Amino acid sequence: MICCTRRWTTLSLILMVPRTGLSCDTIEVLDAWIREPPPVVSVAAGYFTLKNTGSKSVVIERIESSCCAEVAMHRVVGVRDQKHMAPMPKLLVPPNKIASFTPGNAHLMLVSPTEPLLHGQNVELSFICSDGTSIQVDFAVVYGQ
Amino acid sequence: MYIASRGHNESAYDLTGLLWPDPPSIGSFSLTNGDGDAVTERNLHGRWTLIFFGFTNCPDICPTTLATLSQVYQRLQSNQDIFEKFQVLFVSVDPARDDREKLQSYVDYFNPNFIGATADDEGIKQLTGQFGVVYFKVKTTGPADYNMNHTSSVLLIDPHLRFVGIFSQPHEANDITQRLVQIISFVEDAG
Repeated sequence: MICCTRRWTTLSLILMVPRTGLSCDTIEVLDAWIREPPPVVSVAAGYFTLKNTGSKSVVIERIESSCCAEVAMHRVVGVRDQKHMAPMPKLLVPPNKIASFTPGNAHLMLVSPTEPLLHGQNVELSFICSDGTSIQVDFAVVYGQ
Repeated sequence: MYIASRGHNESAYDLTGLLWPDPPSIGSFSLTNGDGDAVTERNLHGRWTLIFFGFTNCPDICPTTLATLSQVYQRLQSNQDIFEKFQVLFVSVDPARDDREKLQSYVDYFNPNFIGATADDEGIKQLTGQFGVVYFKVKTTGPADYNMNHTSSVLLIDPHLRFVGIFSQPHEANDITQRLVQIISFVEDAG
């Protein structure tokens, strides 16, 4: 009887584990780049493709970097010519899915860079997952596009 | 918004973004460019003008669009008839942060031939109101303090000061160049 109770307890614990991945282990970030901002402005946009290769959803809680006073995830909402930015508090990527941040759509907003972001540089950003683990990603600063 | 519709002829119907027939005429407005000179409706007379509204602290849509318009500008150089009469006007809807010098440096970064101009709120609305362009301030919690939400389309004004075309997102240089040439050709033929 004790044996069976333990089995049920173990099974219950397994069933209670959310279908959301806790760590950054199953994510891969590709094509990471920042558009070089004109020298007179204090904001820049970053873009990337994030692949979740795992069997559970992954939640990116935030993205951090010492490059800037703030790094925020934004999406573009609205229709046709009436589009505007809206903050994206978290990024959820379902299993075996890709999230793309591309110009005119979702993007990272990098506010008040501590140093000028210049074409040819690499800037390290940390993607923080819901368990506090992180991965570091090099973003190439690129002119134009 | 105005759209090209069947009725004038088939080619007008096929031109996405063409505002025809009866395009609205542009009335008076007054902005100031980076040199402190006035930019008014007279600066548009005799030219094909693409107008885009934005602000320099805009991280995504404005630099993406201006970089695309610079590519359009380069592609049009192979069509001298149009290129000689072509200009791009970027109007800042954030005059509190975009002073003349900053605005000029900003547009120069994308293309030194582009015109950057702004005005006080009343002056900007004198122009935006003619196109149905919308802009407003949105407070943010971070160090950016606020953002400006604004219409993201690029507008085309013909040499007779008529609002004849609109290019909605997504903006792609080859697509805009091709449609721009087609619309200009159509409007010149239609008179």
